[in-house]
Amino acid sequence: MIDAYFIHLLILIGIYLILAMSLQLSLGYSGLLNLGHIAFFGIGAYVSAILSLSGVPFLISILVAGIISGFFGWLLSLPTSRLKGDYLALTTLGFSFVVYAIFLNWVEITKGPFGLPGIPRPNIFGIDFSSNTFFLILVVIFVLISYFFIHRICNSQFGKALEATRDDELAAKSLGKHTLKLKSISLVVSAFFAGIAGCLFASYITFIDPSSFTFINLIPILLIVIIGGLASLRGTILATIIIVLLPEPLRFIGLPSSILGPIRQIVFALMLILIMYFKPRGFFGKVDLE
Amino acid sequence: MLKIENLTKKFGGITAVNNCSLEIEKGKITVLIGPNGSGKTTIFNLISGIIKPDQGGVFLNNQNILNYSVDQISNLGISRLFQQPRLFKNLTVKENLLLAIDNEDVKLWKNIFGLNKITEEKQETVKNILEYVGISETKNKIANELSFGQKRLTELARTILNPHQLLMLDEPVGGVNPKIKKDIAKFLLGLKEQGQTILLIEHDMPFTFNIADCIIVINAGRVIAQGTPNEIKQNKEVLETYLGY
Amino acid sequence: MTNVFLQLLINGIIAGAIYALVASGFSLIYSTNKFVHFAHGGVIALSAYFLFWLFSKLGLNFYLSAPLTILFSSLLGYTLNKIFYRPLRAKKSSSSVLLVVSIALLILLESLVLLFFGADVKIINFIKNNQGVEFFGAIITPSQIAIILVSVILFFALFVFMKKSKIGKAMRAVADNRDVAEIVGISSEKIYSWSFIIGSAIAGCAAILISLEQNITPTMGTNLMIKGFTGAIIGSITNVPGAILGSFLLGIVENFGIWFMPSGYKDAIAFILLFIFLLFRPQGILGIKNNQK
Repeated sequence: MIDAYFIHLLILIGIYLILAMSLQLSLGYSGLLNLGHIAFFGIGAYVSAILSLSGVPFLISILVAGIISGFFGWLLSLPTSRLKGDYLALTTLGFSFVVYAIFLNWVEITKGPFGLPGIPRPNIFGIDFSSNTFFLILVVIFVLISYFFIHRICNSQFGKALEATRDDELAAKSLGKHTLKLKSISLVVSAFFAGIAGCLFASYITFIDPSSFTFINLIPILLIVIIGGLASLRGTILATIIIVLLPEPLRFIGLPSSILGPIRQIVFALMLILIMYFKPRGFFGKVDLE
Repeated sequence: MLKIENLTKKFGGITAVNNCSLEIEKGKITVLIGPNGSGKTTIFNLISGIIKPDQGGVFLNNQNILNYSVDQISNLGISRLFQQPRLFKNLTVKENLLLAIDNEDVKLWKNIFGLNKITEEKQETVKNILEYVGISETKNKIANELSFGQKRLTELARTILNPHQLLMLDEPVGGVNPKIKKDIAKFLLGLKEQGQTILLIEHDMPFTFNIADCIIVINAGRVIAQGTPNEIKQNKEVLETYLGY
Repeated sequence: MTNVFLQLLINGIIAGAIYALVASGFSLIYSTNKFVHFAHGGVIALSAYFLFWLFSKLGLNFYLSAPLTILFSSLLGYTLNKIFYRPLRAKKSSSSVLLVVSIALLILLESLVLLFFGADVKIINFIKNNQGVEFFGAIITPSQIAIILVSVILFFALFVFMKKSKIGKAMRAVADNRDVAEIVGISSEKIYSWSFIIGSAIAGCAAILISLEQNITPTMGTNLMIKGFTGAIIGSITNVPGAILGSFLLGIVENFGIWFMPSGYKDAIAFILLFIFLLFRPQGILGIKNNQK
């Protein structure tokens, strides 16, 4: 029993980790306050769910989910390239509202508020991933792949160029950097991996509905990136583990879920407020939120 | 090398640059001087591509660069130092400088697969420029933690490292102490000896007269006088404009 | 015989009035403080539940509950500023930080509502609405009439206040140029406090009027905030009349929009308008363009 519970937690940590690292890339390294990030998670989830339910093999579904998410990342980057700070945050937030409204209303494809049940667990080259233990292995593989790419990007000169764009875009431009392209790529990659996380989420829970992709669901992810510290992947990993595990002890106190839900949100909200006041750079961050 | 013709820029009701024309000669140090608000920085911004003029043209080696973006103009060979400090404050001095050397860092796949390494050559280049401007000890410090003078020198170094045929420096010695001022004068003269072309905006008259080959006086958005330091010193109109300067 | 056009127009005006109630308080706070106070929606929600508690739970007379609710909302807004925003401002936090904190506060307030009142819908039965009044072929209920009347009076009062009163003028001064305002002796911290008190008082009125007409739900704050915010952006987030105008426009466009598409997409209309305006005309219809840093 306890084993199964830990495996469940590890799977959640893995999925959130990919989602958080992808946000870290666009927020911490590129300085893009993308409050609409949850939309990419949702797009990945819905695309892969629809494909899987139509019998498309998992590896293709997850790749297509990532690519389509990435495409929306590119779409979002175009008009928002000259926006900064608040206006960027609000516009991206508006984007996530539009996407949510589509999830809710395009009933022919998404079944609206009823959601999509019965999403099959992956079956790759004959190996069935219905068991959570196997699924965990799958998640770990994708976490490693995501970490590899995101880490390489962030720690290379490309990452430095992103950070330069974040710190002073005009100065970066006057060194000849095509900052629009840099920011676009950052959003595309960020969206791609969020889409991957979305696919894993859909396959794990086997049921998705629009309520998992409202902007409230972004708060834990935002909290992770900020608490871990902007522009620190190390911090993101540590913070993911803490944030996923933190509300868990509450389960054992025997409170009903109608109380647990709000308490979890209150804890996250308070943590976000406190961190912004006491330690706005988080554990390992060296960068402030501008 | 650089030519602006009939450049005009209005902001609301204010004409910042008023039908201004001037020419920069290759291999010389040219300094733009003029009272505050006379339009010098606006002219710089028009050349750099940060703002577009209402009228007129900017020509680099006879090529019209009016419709290029800021980064394109940098890649055409104009390297700009800003009046306000614009370091990448969360990066180290070394990282700031490495970014200036080339633009291979914008290529995603090259960087993911480790094909854009920091070569020995680049390390040497950074080391040398830091030695040249005299701030070797700051190499691994975060830019934000430097003193004002060190920041200015780092930015100057970065501007010089950016591959260029023309350096445009907006008040390079603004707010720095006399020793650093002397050092910067020395660097700029040294660069000129290597054949570089430098265009400056400055308010510090002794500094200007020391290094300039040609001084252009700007007032109310247009050129009112132009010449060698000696000629300018004796120009009545300029002396009037600069009462108390 | 139903006059569809008029009905949609009336529905649009009513929706617009509701959004304008939200937007006016919010843009008053934004124009003075220069950051997005998302938690404004939470103030509205919590005030609506406060009214419910007083009137429906404790059985207090409505004409006593309502003013108490307005008192509560003003106090709540004032407290939020004092405890959360002021210390952050003192630390020179960027407006993005304040935005993130205000979102966290919104979620905090809504979660408190969920915790203490549960997720099911609450109703305030003060005005009997089962019989609508006919008006040239369109139906309008008594509480809807109340909303339009009271909100118009409120907006007019707000306009006079901003133009004539000392505090109103000081608020506009701070909104225009804080540094200059301080030089002439206006304490900006005091004005910030006042903007929260008055803006949140309007939020309280909004809560009361909305609760008469609609159900009270824990997420009503977020929903209203999004609509009010959209209305403010469309009109002009930096001036209150603009925010009010934009909100009415939003209400009307929304309601006419569903003439052409399934009603589920009503909210989507607002979101799309928000997105488009933020991209192409962030200063709104009435706003003046200023540089985005």
